[in-house]
Amino acid sequence: MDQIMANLPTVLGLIGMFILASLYWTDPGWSFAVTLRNSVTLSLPWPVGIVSVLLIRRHVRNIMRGESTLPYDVIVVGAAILMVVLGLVSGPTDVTLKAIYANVNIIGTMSVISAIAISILSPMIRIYRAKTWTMAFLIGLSILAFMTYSPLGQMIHPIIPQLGDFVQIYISGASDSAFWISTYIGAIALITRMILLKEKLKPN
Amino acid sequence: MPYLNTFIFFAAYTVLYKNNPMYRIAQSLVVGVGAGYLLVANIDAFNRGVIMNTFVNGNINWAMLLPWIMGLAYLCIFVPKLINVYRAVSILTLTVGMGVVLPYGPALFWTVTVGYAQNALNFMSEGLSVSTAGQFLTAVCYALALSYFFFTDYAAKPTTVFRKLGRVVLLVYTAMTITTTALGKINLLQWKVLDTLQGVPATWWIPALMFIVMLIDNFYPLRNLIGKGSEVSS
Amino acid sequence: MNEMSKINWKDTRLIYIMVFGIIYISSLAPIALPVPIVQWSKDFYATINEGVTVDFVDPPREFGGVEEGTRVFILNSGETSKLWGDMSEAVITVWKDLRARGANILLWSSSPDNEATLNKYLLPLMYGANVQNHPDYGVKFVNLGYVAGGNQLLEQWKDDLIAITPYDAYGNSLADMPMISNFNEMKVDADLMIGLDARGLETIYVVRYNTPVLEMGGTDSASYLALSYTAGYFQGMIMGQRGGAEYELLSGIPGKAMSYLQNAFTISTVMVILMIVTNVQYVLKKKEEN
Repeated sequence: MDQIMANLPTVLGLIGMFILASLYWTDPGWSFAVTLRNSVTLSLPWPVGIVSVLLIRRHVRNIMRGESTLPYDVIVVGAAILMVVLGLVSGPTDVTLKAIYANVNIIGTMSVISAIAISILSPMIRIYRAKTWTMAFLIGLSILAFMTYSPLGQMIHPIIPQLGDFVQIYISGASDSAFWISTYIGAIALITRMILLKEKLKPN
Repeated sequence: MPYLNTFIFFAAYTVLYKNNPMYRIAQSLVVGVGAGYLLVANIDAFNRGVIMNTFVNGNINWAMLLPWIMGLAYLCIFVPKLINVYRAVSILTLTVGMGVVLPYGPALFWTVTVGYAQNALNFMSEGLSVSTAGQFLTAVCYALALSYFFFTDYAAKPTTVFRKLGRVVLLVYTAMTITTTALGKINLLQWKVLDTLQGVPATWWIPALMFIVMLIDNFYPLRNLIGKGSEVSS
Repeated sequence: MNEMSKINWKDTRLIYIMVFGIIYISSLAPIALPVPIVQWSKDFYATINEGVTVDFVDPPREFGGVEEGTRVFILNSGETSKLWGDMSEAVITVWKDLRARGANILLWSSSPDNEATLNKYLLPLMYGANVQNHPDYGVKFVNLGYVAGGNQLLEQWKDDLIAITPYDAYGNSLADMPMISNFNEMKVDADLMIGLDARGLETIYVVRYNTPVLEMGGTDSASYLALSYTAGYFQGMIMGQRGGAEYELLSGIPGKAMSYLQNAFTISTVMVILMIVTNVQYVLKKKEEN
């Protein structure tokens, strides 16, 4: 009994999972399980919203402590409060609210993502050197990919993009399958260990 | 708004020069606006999904009770004494998600493996072509890459050759992915550059101005203008 | 060679300036370039134009291509917000084509980011600033907006959309919309699904209900979506701005994907030259040392 109480979250979770697994393989499904699954889906906005609150709280604490990042913390908290007030006063479909979000957050995230290109191209120029056969192979494949995914290869000879597409579809595709399937199988192994109470799930 | 949009995009890029106030302002705005909007969006999602359906034509919809209970249980994260309630509901959500997703693993493994195995021998019935040779190669590469992940521990030694070949297959994947990622992500940058040139109003002068400011700063640090007192540590 | 050796490639700022320079020049003066059309893009267009038969389970499902009233479910559930700059032309051109053919389009976004991206960059182009006041709204197009739940949601919607999501993005009742009257049980009602970098459709829909699925993603999405295409789960794919250019050529709908190709061409050429030159330099230097 003590062990069950000590592992209450895991046990509860396992019961939930069992119900869901039962549902998945039955058609049309067990109505209680359907209700539970729908309820979990419908309650998802809570944890997502709470993550935002925790983030804002961290910056509020920085302001109260007078940290050296004060001006930036004020911007974070001020912007968050502005958005919440706009959303609550004018409604979630408010044009200004959506415009601010798209013009700040979406574009900012895209900017960071696009910088990945620079962080790939830069080392390709600086440190891609054929020091080993593996590196030479990597460089050769990179050149093939550049020629395939731009008109360059087609302009030199049509066989180049055909070769690149062949490698991408038949070799990369197979490798990607193996990678993801191994990840799934790894997740199953982890859950099996949880069922055996060898792993504990304790979120903070 | 177009000015703000362009400022945010290119201010984030100025970090490539060095950590600076323009970048920090942009970063803080992105974090703050994102957190606020996410909160509003999820209040709206709960409203549309649950609140608007809790009372239908004056009658209570009991199916909506559980999302309410779970939502309130999540709030226990803010009450240290009730943290286990929050943990329980988190685990339930997590594992319910796993319960739905879990069967995909074996399902995907089965469908992909069967599909690749069946297609591998197409060259025998359809004759040898680029497509059928490719399908055969796919099955071989798939098996080799799997062997790299699967055969570990005591199974590692007898399968060394397969795992080494599997590593080559994964290297091909890595090389192609890295390059296509670079080419894909550079499109994002060009998309924004086109927007600054072709959008109304044109905002190309914002990144140009930023560039000039950074150029000046390189030779004459602008921090000298505002003195040490207003310096903000990064 | 000597000039090359004088350049300090360790100063990354030079590389940044070079990349920005190439992009600005490509954007200012794009030129027409040959576009090799990859098979998965041809299949994507053929599915929309002519249709396809999907036969994972009995009986096979015959899809006759997109025509007046074809129910198309678009799942904006991948990384659209992060990849929009790489997907924009393809999504815009395909959407134009679907509208021109008279498709009934249902749109779902899996995150606030994805929803906001299409709200800003796509929907105003297609339906004006006030989407829900457009004459097509509710009849030819319905926007579910952001609905939380991911793949769990897709599992539930296969049987009943309205049961779990009774309202659209603007708070209107779905039950009151003419388009939804025969667009509720996704496993049979959705004639075609188009995923924007979406995953999981193969196991939830394709192998169980023979739903034809097409995918659109960024240039690098091909690496992980290719497996589902080669295994036959996706009927076709178009990837990145190159995919946009391919679809423009195939459909004859004009767009501006060509300047992206110009950029890809210039960047690729410079990168190939630099990688070859720096490596030849490295090998020669190594030989000298030996």
